Amino acid sequence: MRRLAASFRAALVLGGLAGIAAAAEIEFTASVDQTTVGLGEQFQLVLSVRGEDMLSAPQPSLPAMAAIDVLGRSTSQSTNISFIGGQMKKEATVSFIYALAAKQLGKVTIPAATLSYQGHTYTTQPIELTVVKGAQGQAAPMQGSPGSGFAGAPPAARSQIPLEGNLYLSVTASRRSVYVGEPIALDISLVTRFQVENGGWAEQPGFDGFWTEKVFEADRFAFERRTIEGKTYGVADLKRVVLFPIAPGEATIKRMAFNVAVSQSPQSIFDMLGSAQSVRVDSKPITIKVLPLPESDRPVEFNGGVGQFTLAASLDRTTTTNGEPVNLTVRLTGTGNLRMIEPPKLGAVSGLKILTPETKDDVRVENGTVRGTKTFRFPIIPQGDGKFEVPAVAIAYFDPATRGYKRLSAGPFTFAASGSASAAPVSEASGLKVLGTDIDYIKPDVTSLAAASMDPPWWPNVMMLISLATVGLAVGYRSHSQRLQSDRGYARKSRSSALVKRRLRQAEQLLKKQDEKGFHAELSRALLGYLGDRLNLDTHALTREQLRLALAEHTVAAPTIDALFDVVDRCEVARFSPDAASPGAPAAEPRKLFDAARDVMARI
Amino acid sequence: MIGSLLVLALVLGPVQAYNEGNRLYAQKDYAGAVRAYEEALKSGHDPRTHYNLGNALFRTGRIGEAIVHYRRAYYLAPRDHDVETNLAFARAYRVDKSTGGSSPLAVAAERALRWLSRREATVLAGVLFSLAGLALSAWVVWRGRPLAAVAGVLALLGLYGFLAQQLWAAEVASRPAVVVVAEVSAASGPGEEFKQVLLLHDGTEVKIREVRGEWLLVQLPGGSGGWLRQSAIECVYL
Repeated sequence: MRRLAASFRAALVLGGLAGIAAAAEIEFTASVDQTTVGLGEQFQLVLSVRGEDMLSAPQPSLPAMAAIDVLGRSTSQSTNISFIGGQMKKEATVSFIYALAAKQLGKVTIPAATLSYQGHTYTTQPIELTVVKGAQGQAAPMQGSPGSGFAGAPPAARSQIPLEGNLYLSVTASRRSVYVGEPIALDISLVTRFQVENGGWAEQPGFDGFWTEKVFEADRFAFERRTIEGKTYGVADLKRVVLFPIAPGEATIKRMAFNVAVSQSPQSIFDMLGSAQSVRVDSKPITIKVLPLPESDRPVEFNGGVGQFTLAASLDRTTTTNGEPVNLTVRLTGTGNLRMIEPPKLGAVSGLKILTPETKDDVRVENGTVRGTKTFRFPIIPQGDGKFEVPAVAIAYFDPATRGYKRLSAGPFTFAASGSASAAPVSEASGLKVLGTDIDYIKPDVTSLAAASMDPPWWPNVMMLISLATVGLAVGYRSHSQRLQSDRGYARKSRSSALVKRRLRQAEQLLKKQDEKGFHAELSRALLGYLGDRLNLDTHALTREQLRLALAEHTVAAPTIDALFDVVDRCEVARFSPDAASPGAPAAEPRKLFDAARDVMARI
Repeated sequence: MIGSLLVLALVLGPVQAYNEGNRLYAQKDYAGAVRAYEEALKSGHDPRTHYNLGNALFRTGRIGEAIVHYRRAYYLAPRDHDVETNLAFARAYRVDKSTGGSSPLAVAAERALRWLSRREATVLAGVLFSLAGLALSAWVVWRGRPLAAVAGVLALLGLYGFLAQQLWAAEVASRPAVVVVAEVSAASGPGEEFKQVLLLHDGTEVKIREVRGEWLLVQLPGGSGGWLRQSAIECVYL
């Protein structure tokens, strides 16, 4: 029963459970790299968002998981750009990669992840995992199924045969000495004479110093029967990769380790079905000698290619208008390290702007050989009208078979541009041939520099305000002058203040001289004169009653009128009464009268 | 690089930094020239420094930033033919072509008003309006045809300066900016989650319509627009 359960558990397909949310604009999927994982061991969950014209994907939301720890997160993005009908189209795929570890045995579910994008919510399907005991000190988890042991091999119990030589990890490199960039096929297999239930990587293969192209990775054991040195073994391929060394010297394929559960014979009458024993098998490191590419005779066009290739290049059009770009597509097809090849260098062409190329790899592995096509697309923008020639594209590569460099070229290419926004002249009517255009040269050295602000100065605005005020004053002055001439009442009123001040000063002078008659006469004249000027009245020609009525018409208050007449009367009495004080008398009364007169004038 | 910046900052004044920039430019060390000119600009704006910096940026392929500095140079010295030439040259190198077009009359009027820099226009308008005001005041008080004629001529010239100043002020108020990254997509809203609606390239000139945090709503001359991150563009006027 236990063996049967293990078989079912391991039968889940590796990484095959993907929650897909179909949508008109984006696709949101989830996948794991293994569905049977060891307790506490790291595995990978990838949430992918793909869509057109989507250069940045929103962050998906991964719900809290009680049975799983999130150890880390990273993202990767790929973009595919295409020109269709002169319009640039972009399709982007953003992958959010989570490193996870299960912390509870048994069935564990990664719940649906959600993504909000432009008002829509996308969800993936939950992914179910089987968590088994980890490799640390005991049996390792295994993705995949033993099926029924290895087909055709004699299943043997652990207790009958020793482990040594009967269970091992076989790592085979197709060659041990290669050039930089030359491929090496690496096969990793489990070789056993035992019946194996399940297993998993204790130490994943690491390929530092190599560019790796994955060919095959097992999701279950598929044993084949082989005879090795006279003994029959079951051999299951675990992984196959093609490695491209990056730098010369010695590169090492590190030790890797695999845990397997080997069936045990029944130990007692109570153990009828037997049990499994966890065994760790290690490979040995493999050293590869990486030869440098020859320095001599290396063409300048060499851009890292090692293998056998052919070159094709073409323009997508021979005429263009309105400055639309022309695309030069360069295709390199063949076998070798296609992914490591850099774009070819295109020389500058006067009147053309050649942009950074878009690169696309279409690489596959067939029979252990990496082959395919690498495409570079250079957008070329004409800077003026005329006929342009794009020089030939040349690429050189190293052929390990002949141990020498080979050079490929295609072109040159011509096209005509018209209706460009910037009409850079190719020739002039004068017959002078314009060889090219460029920016004007820099300004010469200086002895001083302006330290100006970008903001304008403030003082001209102040000047303008002062000038406006001057105009206002001039208009006011002009108006005042004209009214003085045409309006007698305004003229009298205008001069009343100055006149009364003068008369009051005169009265004060008389008082100081103790000329009381003169003082009273001047005070009375000042008061009545001020009254006449302010109200435009001929006060001397009016009777007392007429004056009272006139003052009332000008809304002078009755108490003020009474006070006025009181001052006038007292002045009259002082001037004409025989009892009036003779010169030399105290001036207390006249001072009070003077103050009363000023008070009355202030109230009118 | 940090060492050279320190040397520029500590040892060289703006004039020396400018002349050092010219020396590096002549040696085709354009990146070094950019640093030197930027140092020279720290003490204030001089159109020659902006112009030379625009050239150095253009040589290093930074078309958008070159356009920014050519426009600043044009703002400070609009009658400099070199500035106008190189600005047009840099604009021709943009991937995105301008679709906006004005009538010949409007172009001629704008050229006439842009003959003065904003500073010159402001000073001219201030001085001439002030003198016209004084002449008008004198005419109001004393009357006399010569005074009226002088006031009228001064007022007309001052009006020209005032209109030129207003044109520059409107230009600055419209918050022009330039895309300074190789390629950026504008979204329909201020966030990554919104639909990408427009693909813009280095050197595309836009106007900022709205600011929300680090996101800016920009508009192209044709009227279309979208939201960009602040880091993708540089304002022409500081």
